[in-house]
Amino acid sequence: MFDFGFDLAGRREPRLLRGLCWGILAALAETLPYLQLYRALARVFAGQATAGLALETLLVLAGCNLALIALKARANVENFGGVYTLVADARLSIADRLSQLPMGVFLARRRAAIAELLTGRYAHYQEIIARVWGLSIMNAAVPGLLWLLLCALHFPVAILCGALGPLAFLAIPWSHRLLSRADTRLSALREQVVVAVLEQIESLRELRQFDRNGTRLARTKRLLADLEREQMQAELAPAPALLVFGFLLQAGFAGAALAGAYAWAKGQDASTYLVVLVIALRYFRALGDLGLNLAELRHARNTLLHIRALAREPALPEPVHAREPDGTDICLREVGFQYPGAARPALSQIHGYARAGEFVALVGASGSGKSTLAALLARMWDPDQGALLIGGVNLRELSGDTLNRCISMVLQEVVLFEGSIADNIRLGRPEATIDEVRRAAIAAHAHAFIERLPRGYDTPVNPEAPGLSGGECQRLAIARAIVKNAPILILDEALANIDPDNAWQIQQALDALVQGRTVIMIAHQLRTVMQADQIWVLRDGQIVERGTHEALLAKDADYAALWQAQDSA
Amino acid sequence: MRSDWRLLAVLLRPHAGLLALAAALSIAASALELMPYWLLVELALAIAGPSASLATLAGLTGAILLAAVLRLLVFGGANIASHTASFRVQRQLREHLLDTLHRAPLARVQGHAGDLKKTVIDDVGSLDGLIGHTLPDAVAGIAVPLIAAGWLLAIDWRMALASLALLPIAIWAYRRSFRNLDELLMRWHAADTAANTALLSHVRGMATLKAHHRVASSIAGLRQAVHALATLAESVTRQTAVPYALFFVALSTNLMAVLPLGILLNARGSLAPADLLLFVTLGAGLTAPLLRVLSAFGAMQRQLLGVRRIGALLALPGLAEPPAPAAPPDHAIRLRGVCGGPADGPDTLHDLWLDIPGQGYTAIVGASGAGKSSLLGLLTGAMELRAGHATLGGIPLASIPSATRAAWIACVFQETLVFAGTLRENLLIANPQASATDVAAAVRQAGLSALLACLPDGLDTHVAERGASLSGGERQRVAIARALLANAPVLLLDEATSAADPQTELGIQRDLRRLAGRHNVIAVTHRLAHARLADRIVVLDQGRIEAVGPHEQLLASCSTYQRLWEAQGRGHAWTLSRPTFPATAS
Repeated sequence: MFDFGFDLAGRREPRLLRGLCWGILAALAETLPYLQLYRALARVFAGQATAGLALETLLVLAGCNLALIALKARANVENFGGVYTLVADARLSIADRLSQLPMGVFLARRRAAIAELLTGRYAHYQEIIARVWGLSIMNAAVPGLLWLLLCALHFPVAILCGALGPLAFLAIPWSHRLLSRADTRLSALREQVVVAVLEQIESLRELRQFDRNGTRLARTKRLLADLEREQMQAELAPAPALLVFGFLLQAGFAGAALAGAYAWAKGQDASTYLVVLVIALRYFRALGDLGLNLAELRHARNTLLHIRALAREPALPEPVHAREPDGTDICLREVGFQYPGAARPALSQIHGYARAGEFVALVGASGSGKSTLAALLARMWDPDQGALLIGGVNLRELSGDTLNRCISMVLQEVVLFEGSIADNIRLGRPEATIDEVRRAAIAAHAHAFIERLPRGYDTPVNPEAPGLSGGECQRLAIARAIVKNAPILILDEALANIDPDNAWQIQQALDALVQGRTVIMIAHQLRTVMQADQIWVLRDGQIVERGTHEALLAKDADYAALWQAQDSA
Repeated sequence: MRSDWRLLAVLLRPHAGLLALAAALSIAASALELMPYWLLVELALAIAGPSASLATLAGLTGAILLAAVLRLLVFGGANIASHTASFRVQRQLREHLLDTLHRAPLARVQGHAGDLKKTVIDDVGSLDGLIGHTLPDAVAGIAVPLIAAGWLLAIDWRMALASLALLPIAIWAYRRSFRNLDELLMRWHAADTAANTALLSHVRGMATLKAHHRVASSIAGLRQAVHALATLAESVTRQTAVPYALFFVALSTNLMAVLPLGILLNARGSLAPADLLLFVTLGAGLTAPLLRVLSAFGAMQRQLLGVRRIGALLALPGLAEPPAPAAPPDHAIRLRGVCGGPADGPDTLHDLWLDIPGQGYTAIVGASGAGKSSLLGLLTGAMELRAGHATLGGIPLASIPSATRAAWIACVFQETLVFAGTLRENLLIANPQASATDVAAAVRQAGLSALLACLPDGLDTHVAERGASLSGGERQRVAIARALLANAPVLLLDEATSAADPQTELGIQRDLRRLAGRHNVIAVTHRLAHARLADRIVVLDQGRIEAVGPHEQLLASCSTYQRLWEAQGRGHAWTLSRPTFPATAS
């Protein structure tokens, strides 16, 4: 009902329990003055007020307030520290979980949504629950203790308050439900608006060039108008529930007041009646604060639902009984694969065998399935049909660690991560020493430019703006693979988008990298893979030809045509 | 700070009526909030009186309920008014900001997509907190104590002062707990940004991480960045916990001052018990609403930072649009001693002298960072022209209005974005009147025919936002087709076919070559094999023109070109050597 998402971190946080205890003690210090109020008013209404009573009251209240300050401060530190640590852990465990999902989760649109969920939306969520949690403890404990006081003073009124107060809270989940329908529409629209605004900003030069009638801008403005309408609806949606909540609390107070009046008419003393009224007023007001507080959670609810959905996403299964591969021969058996939602399979009926130490090239036009095949080998996905085997063992039966030890991959797009240059190089083998890192960088022709960086290998990397050229990043990726030292190496277009000056050094680096390994290389430039032991030519997801360069040229079919086209370029 | 408030006032002025209504309703709701206390006093007086009956008390209780319900409704009305204003302000501001962006010089806008998005979406969005919640809260939070204090003063000034006695302590504690607020907010913002950056690269690099079997929490930098927020939250809370608790207690529990004084005055016979009751209920909570005001004040500081960024964006100068010139006889480009660079950076182009005739194929080559893209940017307006003269068809570039410039120059970039919508929409946007034949021709020349044949819906296939469902090469080809359809006399290509596979690329290059018979085609390229086909090659080095001429001439005379050609030849001839492999059991 009131989901804070504390379970997502997968551990308990002792500080939250401590914060709860200090919070309850603070509530006690806040409630005790009402006992003194009762004592004092009883004397005042009896006409027995004295200076001594005033002094006593002053001392009791001052003591309570001092205690309250200390306890509240303590509770706040525990609660804020606890909540923020816990949500940080939860955030990391969600991020960890992502790496176990098939790559399909990260295609296009979902990737942007996941990024937003982990950053902007998460920040919003943690801010809300950090605030609501601490306040809720106080706002829940104070009426609880006041109720105990009421029980002692006037049992029937206490029964009435105890029944009517919690009843009002049924309206809070109702308000969440009311909002969630409107909120789903609103988030979908908000996402559209973000996309449209981003288009306006990122494509400004294209828009000015081509959209001279401003049709895209007009469309964006229409979305903004829709957003305004939906925002208002989402704001109004929970209103009935919140009104009912407020009304029930007021009705509860009125009921308590009537019950008190009835008891007074039956002869109970006036001072008890009035004090009970004062306490009941405070009781319902505190419940109202608690309700408004918890209703705040509705703003975090949608984000939390998305996070939970992501956490439930099925991961690539890890084997129950992991096996060790015997050697590093690669075998593909009847492999078929189709991207979710695609019209036709990306790969079908793929057979192939690469002995340890062989150099296999995958060639073919874009969209022919080369990269998909490489991705399956690294188990970014599991195939729909057939099996991929390394050393005679199905990839599904290899533990993640073993697979990682067997395969390195150098991708076209190099991504650097938070951390130093050295950390980035030892990504695939974090235990590598700095000497190993340096040797790998030298072999990858990266040492020279790393040494020129302000703090050399310890230079921290800003992943968004690494300040390195594409070619330099590519050489870091090669150094990564050298440090990792896996027997099988997959190169996916590692040379595309590199200008000629850089290409030479990268080629040298690659020559160093491939020594002593099985190489699966995807290449646009056929010349680069002329020496391959086997060239597999893919077309529309199938291997249509295979053989050495010479054999394939002699065959004068697909490969020969590709070769011709490149030669004349 | 003060200027931020002024700016906010300017932004809100058109909605003053609605905001005034929200404030009035908010104050009315506050006044109604006081009703129960008044009725409570009446009740206490009734009990003390001789003629009290259960019916009187029931009547008063009913009145309390009625006042409370009325308050709920008025408060709801205030909320509706303030949110109507808030959402309206947000829409209008975003529209206004987008219009400003469209009018601003490209050079000032390019490369700041992240910041601009933050302002248009997030900063404007955070105004909802300010207009929808903070301002009405602040009005109510100030109105309740003011009205109540006036009432209490009229009843008993001594007790009223006691109700306010702890206020100075509260203010002192508030100032103490928030004295470093600016700095803390800054640190918080920095930590938040660092965590976001780390997480974004994590999501972007998922393939790399999976390939290396690494999870987020095993990357020290990421772990630290995420935990830094928690550490900061804790240390900030620790530093401010006691003064903040003091602030809170001093504002919300001044029963401590009210009750003892009330007892004393009652003992001396100068305060009636019913009045004492009023002071312990209303007086003791008199300053509590200020809590909302002051907490809101903290949020306001942050929201005002957003207002400042919105203001900065709105203040972007519009392009000075000169009158549209007459169509020139040709579209030759002439540069005379031109220097230029990005709006917020140093010159990247120095003293360029260049003549490009109105027809023909010109290639621009050079090493990375030589200024190739800057040169194109100069023509499209993405770079600032700082010295010298640049003309298109004899008309100075600066006196061509941007719409005319767009009509004369079509441009295709390496990283190009495709709009969400169908492929047809994407093409026709450049030329809504284009005939089916024109579209078919553009599709063919851009090498898109094969792709379209694979798509069940052909040109009516829907592409995801930013063209994410297309490959890089496919996006480039869509962009080329769009540019061809625009049929502009000048066509600029910046590595526009870099992601295409070799056959497709070759086909496109041939068609461009043909196009150059009627158009002025200028292409930046890395592949010298393509540049070789050009009528003239411009060799750039460190922002200067090294030489201009056809391939053979440059190869004979230009050392930079020779170096590029050799490097490329060497790269082109490179072939991955067969790895040596230790003998294996198999």
